[in-house]
Amino acid sequence: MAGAWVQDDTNVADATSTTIAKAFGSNVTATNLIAVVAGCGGNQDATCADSLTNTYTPKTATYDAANDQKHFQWYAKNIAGGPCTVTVTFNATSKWRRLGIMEISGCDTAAPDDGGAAQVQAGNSAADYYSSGNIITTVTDFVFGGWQDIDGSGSTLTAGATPAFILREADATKVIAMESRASQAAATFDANFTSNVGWRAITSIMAFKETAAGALSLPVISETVSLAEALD
Amino acid sequence: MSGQIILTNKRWNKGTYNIPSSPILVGLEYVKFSFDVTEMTDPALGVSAYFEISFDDGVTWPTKGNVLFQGGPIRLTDMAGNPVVRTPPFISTHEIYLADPTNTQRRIQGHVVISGGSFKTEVTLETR
Repeated sequence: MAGAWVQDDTNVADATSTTIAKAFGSNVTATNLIAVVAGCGGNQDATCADSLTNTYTPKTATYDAANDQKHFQWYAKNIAGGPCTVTVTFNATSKWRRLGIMEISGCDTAAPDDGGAAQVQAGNSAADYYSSGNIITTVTDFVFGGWQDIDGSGSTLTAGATPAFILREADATKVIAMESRASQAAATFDANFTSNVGWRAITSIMAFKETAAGALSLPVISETVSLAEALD
Repeated sequence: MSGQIILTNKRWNKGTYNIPSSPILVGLEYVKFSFDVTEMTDPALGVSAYFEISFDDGVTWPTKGNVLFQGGPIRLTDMAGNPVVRTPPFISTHEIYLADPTNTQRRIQGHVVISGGSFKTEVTLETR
């Protein structure tokens, strides 16, 4: 089964706090996957959790000392279904908190991770290309891309063209954004965005193995028949 | 935080530095790249790192990734433009979390590329 975007949302809070949270607009579906991107001011540690007690695996954490901001990625596989609020908790109070959450269907429920990366780029010109850096994947993946403006706000973002991503959401101030690409064959590629303003930014990528084609779930046979009955 | 040094923390000159295949100690959970960006105020300066992780003692290298930090001026204002007091050194870090911490056959290899100047750089394997 191919991976597919289901829903997403963002939250941005500039005032000081130790958490940032966001609820999905609709109930999430059991066995799906949740991808999370978050950011904060300072070099904090952070953990991710949700109201369904799903387990979040950290993928990357990138601190840019030049602009004193940090960028995180997590994912939760084979999730429980229901109303879901995702919360990122920092180990110290922090300004410039950002959160992006995305529900994805059709990913491997056992071991979906097929790579991840992140890059800090200065932004040099009026229109800049931002890349997560290449990853080298092994199978067909659903690909999640995240972008965090750590310098300014309000730019116009365009999703990556090669390979072609779909820009799923950027918050109103354009400081956190997410894109996705389904059914990306095994290859070397990046997640990338173009911004019309050359802000310093962190771009990240996570690739999730899609459920193998033909891996159908078989019905459970609940009735047993004795040998005598079968031969009767 | 206990760690395993993969690339010694020192000033590395412009160039490419190989990280030879090395075993990853059991229990370590992430690879951490640290770059001293205190002097990297020119965006022409940068550090990139490429790495691979094996879970079968180097037979296959299924986890691959790269990291790039591009230089830039040390910002002394916050996102709202208010002045902030910051003191060097300014150490950028990138952490990639590693699967299977109980596996005794994990290995790491790769290389670090320093471009445009010389910077203090370190690669370690650590636990949370």
